[in-house]
Amino acid sequence: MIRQTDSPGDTLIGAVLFVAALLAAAVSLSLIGLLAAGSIEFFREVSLFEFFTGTVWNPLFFQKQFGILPLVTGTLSVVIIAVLVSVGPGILISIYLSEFASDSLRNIMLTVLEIVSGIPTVVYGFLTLFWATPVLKKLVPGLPAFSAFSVGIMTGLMVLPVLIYLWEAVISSVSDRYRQGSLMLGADRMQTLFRAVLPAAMPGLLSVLILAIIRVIGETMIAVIAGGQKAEFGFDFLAPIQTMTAFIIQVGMGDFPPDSMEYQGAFAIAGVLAVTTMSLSLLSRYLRRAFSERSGR
Amino acid sequence: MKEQQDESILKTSSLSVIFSKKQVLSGVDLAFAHRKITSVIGPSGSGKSTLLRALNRMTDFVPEVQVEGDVSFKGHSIFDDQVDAADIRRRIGMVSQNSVVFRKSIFENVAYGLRIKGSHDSGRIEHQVAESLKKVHLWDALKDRLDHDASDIGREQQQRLCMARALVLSPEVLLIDEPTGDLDSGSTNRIEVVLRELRDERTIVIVTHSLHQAARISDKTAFLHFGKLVEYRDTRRFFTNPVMKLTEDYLTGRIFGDER
Amino acid sequence: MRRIMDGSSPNRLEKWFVLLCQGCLVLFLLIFLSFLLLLLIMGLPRLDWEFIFGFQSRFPDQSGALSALTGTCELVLLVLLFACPIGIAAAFFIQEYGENSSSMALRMISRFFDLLLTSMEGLPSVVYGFLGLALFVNILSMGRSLLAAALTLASMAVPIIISNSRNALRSVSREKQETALCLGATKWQAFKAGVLPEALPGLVTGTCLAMGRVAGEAAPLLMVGAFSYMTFVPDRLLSPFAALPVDIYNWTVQAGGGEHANGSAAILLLIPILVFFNAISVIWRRHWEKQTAEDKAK
Repeated sequence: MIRQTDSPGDTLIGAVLFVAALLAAAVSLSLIGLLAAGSIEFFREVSLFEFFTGTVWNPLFFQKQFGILPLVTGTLSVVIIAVLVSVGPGILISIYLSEFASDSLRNIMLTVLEIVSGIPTVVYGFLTLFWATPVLKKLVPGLPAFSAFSVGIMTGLMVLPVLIYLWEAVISSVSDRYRQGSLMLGADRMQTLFRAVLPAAMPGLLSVLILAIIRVIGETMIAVIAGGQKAEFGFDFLAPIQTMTAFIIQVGMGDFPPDSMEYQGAFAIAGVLAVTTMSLSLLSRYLRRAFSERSGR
Repeated sequence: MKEQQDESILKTSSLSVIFSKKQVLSGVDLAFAHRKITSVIGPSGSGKSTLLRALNRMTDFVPEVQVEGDVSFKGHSIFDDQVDAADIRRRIGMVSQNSVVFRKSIFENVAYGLRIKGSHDSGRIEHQVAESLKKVHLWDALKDRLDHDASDIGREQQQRLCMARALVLSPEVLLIDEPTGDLDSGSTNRIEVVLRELRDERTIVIVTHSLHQAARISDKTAFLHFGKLVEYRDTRRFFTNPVMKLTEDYLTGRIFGDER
Repeated sequence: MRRIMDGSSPNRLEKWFVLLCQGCLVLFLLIFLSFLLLLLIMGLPRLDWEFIFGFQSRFPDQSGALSALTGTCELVLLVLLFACPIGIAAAFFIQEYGENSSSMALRMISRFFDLLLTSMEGLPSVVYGFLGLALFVNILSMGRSLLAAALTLASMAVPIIISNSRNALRSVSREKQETALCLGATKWQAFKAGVLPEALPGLVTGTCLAMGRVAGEAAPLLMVGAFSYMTFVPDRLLSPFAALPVDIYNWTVQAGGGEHANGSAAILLLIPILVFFNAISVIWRRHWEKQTAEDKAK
């Protein structure tokens, strides 16, 4: 950009734009500040140690206990199942669309995937109750109506379109010359794919996976509708669970006064969620950058 | 005009290549001289790169490609059904224009071809990688940095690394598309020195847009004009005494290649 | 001898692998088609003019989605009003003024904004919802109203709009702008002439996508107090409100078949709205990307 002294019109416009940016930042900062303040309030009453290591979460009953671990295992169970369900088919479909499918099939599928990825999670919540649970009950007899299993599978399906679409973009962005370089040395297409293209795409692939995990962690409606809202520590996938997000909804929908422990508990959980997703987000960006730099883009 | 007194292990006969209805090469007959450098020159779009790619069956990967005529390597057609195309590519090695190094270490880049082939003997691989790097004069510079990322080295060294990548398979023919493309004169010189040394044991075919380069390092020169072979002679006579008028026009700059 | 090659012949491993991939794709498509089928079977019978124009009632087969529909529309319009100008203007600032500013202070501030707003993007919508509850409903005493909900959703939409807008700006080539500057135009004139026309489609689609996202959110609205039993159309900023995703939720978690049918029908209302937003954005963007690539190739 050429640097020059700004005309008065420019300065005025610049000022207006700056104010807008300031406003946006101010709102974000006040939300973060609120989060921090609320969490601090909470930790005045509950020790950090109990919070992070306690295995009982009982904020809504008489004998309140605030160990976060049941909520953590709840969320983690969903993440594990969702990742297991979506990664395999996801990578296979992305590879297929990028390397083997015809141009028209690829374009149609990518458009469809991008559109489908906009379906709101509440719809998936509905589908969990009326599609997933009946289907899964046939696979796993004795599956309760609410379980981590149903929630995990449906969340995995929810995240699949985005995963495929973004992974395909990463794989496609490995240049054709890269592939040709491998083929010229006597490799066939499969060898080129697994020994040259995919290893080169790895940072980008991981970056996208982390984005998907962020989505899964932040997912609420499926867990609320089909999870059972029961905070139990442990990894029994066939049991009901409560995720961190589901707990926050529970508090938000109830009528708890702002100075109640439940309300402040929600702040603390929201704080943990915020820190987790923000760190993962930074990690994803870092990996994305590593990927782009190495490919010289 | 062709002169064929040299030994030749790679020949084309009436080679034509058509990409989705567009004729890129027409009836090319060439016998590449062994232990010599042959340069293929001509205006853009003459089919030079396509010729190179047909020589090691890289044209297989172009959708809707038609190949007529034949290419024979050591007496056998490379297009035979029995022939393993991957094996051909190992014996007729190629370095393409603006080759890209793999996002691996320098060592792994060179070793790639060996691993693909199925070699598991790490001692032998190490030895062959070292030999290959020595051939391109990169051993001394890089021997202490073999585990570094290949993208850490400069453009010209990367180009030589790509050559080492192909050489590690001990190909009997080496095809290079624009060996020094957009490199400066110092880098160009370094690579040309390497090419001269490599010539002793192989057939080398290069495609170059630089008439100067062709005149400098090649023993034979072939001139392609819109898919047809116009002239193929010893370099010195090609440049000083071209037989075809088209060649003369091209060399003197009267035609540039936009005409048909 | 004429040979026709159509790519190299795949070996057996490749054939099986491709088959596996195709199987996954088919399975995926079947699953999502069955979703659609289920929704149609459950909801289509219920989807009639009475449903679309009716209000909620105690009896599920007399319930309608009108308040929710208008609520959602009003929300989207309000969020558009709040978030779009601020988001796009902020994106302009960060992308155009901040990064290339001659003042070091401005550059640092811009980078800070960038970091801040990018981190806010990944934040789950529940967190936005809860903070919206705390800030707008409680602290600012707006109560559980349309305004509070709109502001909450707007704060969620702003980082998304900023990110999308910046991408749109980044993808524009700067030649026209620099030419204009060389010819003596002011910064803003050069920007308006050189960058804006090309970036406009991207800006519009970016905003559309953000609106689509926002229209489907249930979690924040559940907390900021969307009503599930509204018998009138929300008409004032501070009035209680309803929204389609929330109605869907409520109908889903209730026990009766009638409610479930309603939920399904409501989904069939919501999805076309969202798909409409998304589809227009995606298709237009792809068309425009192709157009730009073709223009550049000329």
